[in-house]
Amino acid sequence: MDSLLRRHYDRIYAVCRRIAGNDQDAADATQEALISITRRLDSFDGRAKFSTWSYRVATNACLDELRRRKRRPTPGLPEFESGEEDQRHTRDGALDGALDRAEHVVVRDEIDAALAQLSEEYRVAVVLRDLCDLDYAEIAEVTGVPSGTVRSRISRGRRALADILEIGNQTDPRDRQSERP
Amino acid sequence: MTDFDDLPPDELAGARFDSELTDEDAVRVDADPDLARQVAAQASVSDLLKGAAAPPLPSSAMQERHLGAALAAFDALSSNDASLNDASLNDASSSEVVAADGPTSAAAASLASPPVADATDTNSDSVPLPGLPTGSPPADQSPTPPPASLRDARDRRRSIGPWVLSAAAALLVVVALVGIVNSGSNDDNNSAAASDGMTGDEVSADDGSSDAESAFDAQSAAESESPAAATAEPSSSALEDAADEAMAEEGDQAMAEDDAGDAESVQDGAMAEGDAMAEEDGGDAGSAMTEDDAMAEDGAGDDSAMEEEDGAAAGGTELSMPLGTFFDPDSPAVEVPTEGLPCLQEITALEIETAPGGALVVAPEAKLDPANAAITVFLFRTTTDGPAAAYAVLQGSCVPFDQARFD
Repeated sequence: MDSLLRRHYDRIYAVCRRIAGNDQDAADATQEALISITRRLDSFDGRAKFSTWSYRVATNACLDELRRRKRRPTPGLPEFESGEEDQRHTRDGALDGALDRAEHVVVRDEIDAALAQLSEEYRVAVVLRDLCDLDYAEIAEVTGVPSGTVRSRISRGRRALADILEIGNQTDPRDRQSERP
Repeated sequence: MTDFDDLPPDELAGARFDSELTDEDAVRVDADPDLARQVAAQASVSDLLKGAAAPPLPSSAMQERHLGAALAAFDALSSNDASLNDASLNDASSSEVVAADGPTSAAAASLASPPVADATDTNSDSVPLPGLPTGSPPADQSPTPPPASLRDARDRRRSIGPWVLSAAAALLVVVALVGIVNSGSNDDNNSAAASDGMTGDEVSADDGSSDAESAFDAQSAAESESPAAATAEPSSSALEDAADEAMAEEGDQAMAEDDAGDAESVQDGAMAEGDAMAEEDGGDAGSAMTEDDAMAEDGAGDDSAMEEEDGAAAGGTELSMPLGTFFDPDSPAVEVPTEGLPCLQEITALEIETAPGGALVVAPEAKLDPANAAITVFLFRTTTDGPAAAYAVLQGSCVPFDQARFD
């Protein structure tokens, strides 16, 4: 069990971090997710990959955490110790590396801020698709909505992110249709 | 895949980028400059998300806290399961039994006992009834810390609920068995099941093998600690009073008076059934059963039910858990040498994990560890093309796999 949790810790934390939008909520959600996994492991029926199942548990734990706190996620600067990747950059000490890292942090924070502006449904769908690399069917299973709704949420979520991040100019008012299952 | 004509352009673009369209529809999207531009826009956003630096992980100390809490929860949960085995391994006479059986049983007992520091058995908050033999309490009967919040309490209740339901069902079976035993045998032999102060351990012993020694121990303990109850055929009212008094002293009397409808009420039902059993048995004070008793009987009931379900022989060498939970008949399984079951030490070298690539391990086989009959080992085959490997999981009512316990 220890090995299983350690193996999936980073991915679970990553999805919680992206959905929660800040470190503290992500940490709490990760804690809840890990506990949920241990408690519900016997309900894992093998119809989905374990990673998908764990994403579902993590997503639900994260959403529960957010709802419990009754607040929208707020992007936050890193409050924790740097991860191994960051530490490695620091050790290198090269100016280019530092600048590159700073740029990555800025981009990361911008993305966090943009994700935080999305509705919960869109944010979860985009995170599961683009960060967790789940396909539509898997996301539908995780979120409990039809795959058509997943498709709609992903496309609209990305478009909203593009607007927020000022990427391209693909917004077309004619395309703004209500979400369909 | 999606119907091309029914989708708005942005969803078409997104589905195209995510390869969720048929090849034919993908060609149509690619042929449309406007759609192709939207696909590129979706790709830009997706690439930005994927390319962004991963959020920094929490500090290693915090990670360890997270993992430790989860493992503690797992241990607490599994200790409920292990307690079913503990009931037969750690009863009042278990020390003699373990000594007689040698290191195998001793190892089983030690393995079945979770670390005290991690033990948060949700069912251990019942205390031995006054006048009942306490013997050597199972290791997992450490005091349960009070729930830190309503949420914790709710989770705890949920974790208890299924067990209590099973316990109530199992208790009915035990009532019937006791009735049969008592009707088929003489009324004054003071069988273990009919003796006062019957503990869950003794129930398991009696249920499993009708061990005369266990019965004798139970009887002796009952006579020594509850002489009144050992009196032959006390009146029903006296028995009820004794049972009620014991219940009250245990602090569960309110539960006993509670209505059905929630998990606690099922516990009450189990206790009430215990009372009824005593009355039917013509004056046994065995109605004063603890929750642990019910849990132990639950385990016995589960085992018997599953043996029936699996068609396994009662010899205890076959499956003790249903396998449907983990079995995916649609997943191809690589061939894994199955001859010979890894011994306990070999099992410790295996990791519980999904196969490389995240594929699920399938085709489980559950067998009792030949080195330790108290432990059921689940072996899995992987769905990947990687190296064939077996994965072992100790699950259900068996001792949970915990590397630290084997080190």
